[in-house]
Amino acid sequence: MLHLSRPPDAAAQEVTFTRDIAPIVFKSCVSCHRQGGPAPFSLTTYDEVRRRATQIATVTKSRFMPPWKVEPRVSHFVGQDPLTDAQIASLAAWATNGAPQGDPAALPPVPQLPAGWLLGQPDLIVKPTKAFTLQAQPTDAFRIFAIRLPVTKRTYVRGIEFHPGNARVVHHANIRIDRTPATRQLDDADPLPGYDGLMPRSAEYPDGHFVGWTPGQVAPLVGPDLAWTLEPGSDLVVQLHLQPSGAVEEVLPEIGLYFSNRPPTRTPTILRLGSQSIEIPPGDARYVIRDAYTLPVDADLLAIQPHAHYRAREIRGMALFPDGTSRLVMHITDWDFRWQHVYREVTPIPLPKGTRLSMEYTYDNSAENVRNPQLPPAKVYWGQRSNDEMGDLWFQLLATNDRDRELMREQITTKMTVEDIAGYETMLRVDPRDAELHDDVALLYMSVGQMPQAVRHFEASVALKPDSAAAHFNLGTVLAQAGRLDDATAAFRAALARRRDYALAHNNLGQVLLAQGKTGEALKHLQEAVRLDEANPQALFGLAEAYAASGSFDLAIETIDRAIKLPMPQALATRVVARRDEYLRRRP
Amino acid sequence: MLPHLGLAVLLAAAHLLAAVPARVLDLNGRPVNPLASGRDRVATVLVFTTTDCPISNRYAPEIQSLAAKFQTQGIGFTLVYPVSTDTPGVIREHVKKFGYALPVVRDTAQELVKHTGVRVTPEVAVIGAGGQVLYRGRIDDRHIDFGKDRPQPTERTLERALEAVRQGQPVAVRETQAVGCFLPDLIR
Repeated sequence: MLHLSRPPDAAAQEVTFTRDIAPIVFKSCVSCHRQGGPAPFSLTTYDEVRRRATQIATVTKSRFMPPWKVEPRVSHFVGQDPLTDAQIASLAAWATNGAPQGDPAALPPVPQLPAGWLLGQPDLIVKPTKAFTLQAQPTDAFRIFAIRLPVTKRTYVRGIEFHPGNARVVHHANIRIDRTPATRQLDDADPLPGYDGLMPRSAEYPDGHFVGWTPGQVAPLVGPDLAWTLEPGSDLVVQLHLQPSGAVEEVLPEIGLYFSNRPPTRTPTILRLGSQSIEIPPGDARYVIRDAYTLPVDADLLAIQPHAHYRAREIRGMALFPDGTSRLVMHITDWDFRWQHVYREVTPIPLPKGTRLSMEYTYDNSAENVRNPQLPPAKVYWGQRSNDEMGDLWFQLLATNDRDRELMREQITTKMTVEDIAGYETMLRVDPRDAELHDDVALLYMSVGQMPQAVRHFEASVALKPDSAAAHFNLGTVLAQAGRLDDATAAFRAALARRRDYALAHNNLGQVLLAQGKTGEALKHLQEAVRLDEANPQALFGLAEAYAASGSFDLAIETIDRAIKLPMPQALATRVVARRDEYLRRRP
Repeated sequence: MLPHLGLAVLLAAAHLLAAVPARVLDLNGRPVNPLASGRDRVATVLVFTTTDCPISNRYAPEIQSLAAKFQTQGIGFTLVYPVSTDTPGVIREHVKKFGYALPVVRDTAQELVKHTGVRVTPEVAVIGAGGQVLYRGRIDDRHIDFGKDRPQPTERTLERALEAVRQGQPVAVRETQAVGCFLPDLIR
């Protein structure tokens, strides 16, 4: 009762750095705000903290710091350690009362964080070959690097640690693995280190693992049973969000990889919910997107990551269980593009088969949204650039066994491909004359078996670049798959009219003619295909088929034996061997 | 009510300021008067900064380009470092790193701070040829609060004030709230 009756500022006067403030700052701030840490200034001594006392009181009161965007009661995530109201009140009282030091003897020890790698010495450390120079420009920049990974055999990875290299400007990093040369080619095409643009579709989260970085987050290593597989020849793809410091800055991040010495036993799956049909009218302050997916099997929810750009305001993720109960699994009421954490559950949430996962994002494209990058507001479409909008909620799910995982993975892949197609259609609404977008979306339509749509886009591509032999070839190929053989031969002939030595076009034309029973003409084109490219098992196989169709089984066997010596996909190899047996049987 | 009071204080302060800024020093430790009016000088912009304030530093290109724009129009910019730990050596490095090409003064006795009433860095004060404070506050409205800022400003407040000053018009908004590093914490 006695202390309640004291005047409030008498209590406040007692707040000192060494006794009250240092324990808060050392526990909640210095993991980033230290020499060599990712924050822009250090808070490890009385003088450093005193100099920013009012700022600390302000940013903790608004809960901008420590950075944590999710509403407090959603779940218990790794690294979730908000300040208490009492701690925030102490920081405010201390600043108001002149930030007194107090008894130096009462100062707790500064936490000793390792100067280098927090997860220990990595098995492999990589960085871009050259630093990128960020100019003293007024607006944020984005830069994508394809970093070669010098591994010569299949390797299993338990995690990575990202070092920004220049904490003044590196705000966060999106990290992916590209098993193809696609990102590398884009990087190489730009004369400066890295490139500014889009990540290719082939740059993916590896085996269902999130690998991004935001300041203050060091993802713990996963157990060896959950490691992800790194194939030789893969590149680490790092997209940096850079906030200029006002000076010219060198940027050279460093990434440490931690290996496991044995293959994993379980592989998670990433589900992406969201919309790629986003089209927000200017001034619309409450534009909503929704998506949902019902689990076909039992799974554990391991982690969750929201992604959106500047106009998103509220982010909601929900799990509706088969018994009718539900819980919020993600809720952010003041979305900030710059704090894209991966939220990992301390205890995985069991999701029984039949659980419906859903998302709902709300956007504000009015002038009242201070983060709106376009003023006056303009119509905004889905797209990967920061001035476009996105809306994804990623769930990391772990099925009970491989069979369940495969079932779920197939469904999810199809669902996400359909949404990717919607994204391309959105981009084509903005730029219908982009032939590469037509080509890419046509391939996606083919992958989900929607041939008429694929035909439509390859036709559009041909119309945009009528002189391109490849465009006619693509159209011919999809027409053939759609069963329109006469149209297909016309397209292949158009391709060959533009490039006489187009081996693949000779091959495909030959195959179509063969299917049409025009064996003589087919033989001519397939011979030409093999002459132009002797190392193409497809062409050799096609030629063998043509010989067989014309009754020349000896020639067919001789040709197919040439094919067998070449590396080829498993499915083709199986067919080739089966057909060879067939030729042997039918040989007179 | 508050703005009126503030303005009165500022106007009173402005006279003192014009009289003797005695302890404002250049980087060689010599007393200087950053407001000394040349014949063609219409106004002086004091840009208060500190070397280790990220928000302040990020404005360096904007400050430099505004200075370039107005220097031919009788308006000079001066960088003011009010914090004593920003020694001449530290300041020389800072100026070089951030590409400033402006006159620099140290105001470690906070004469200019007190007379203009600035509270944070970066914050600017536009001083007329007669010593009166014509504008005091933010450079633009990019920063709304810590961690809350616009991708680009919607109002270039200082530039608008300087356009008015250049044309001999009264400045419409004479005080705004700047967001940045708190000077009272830095100078005590």
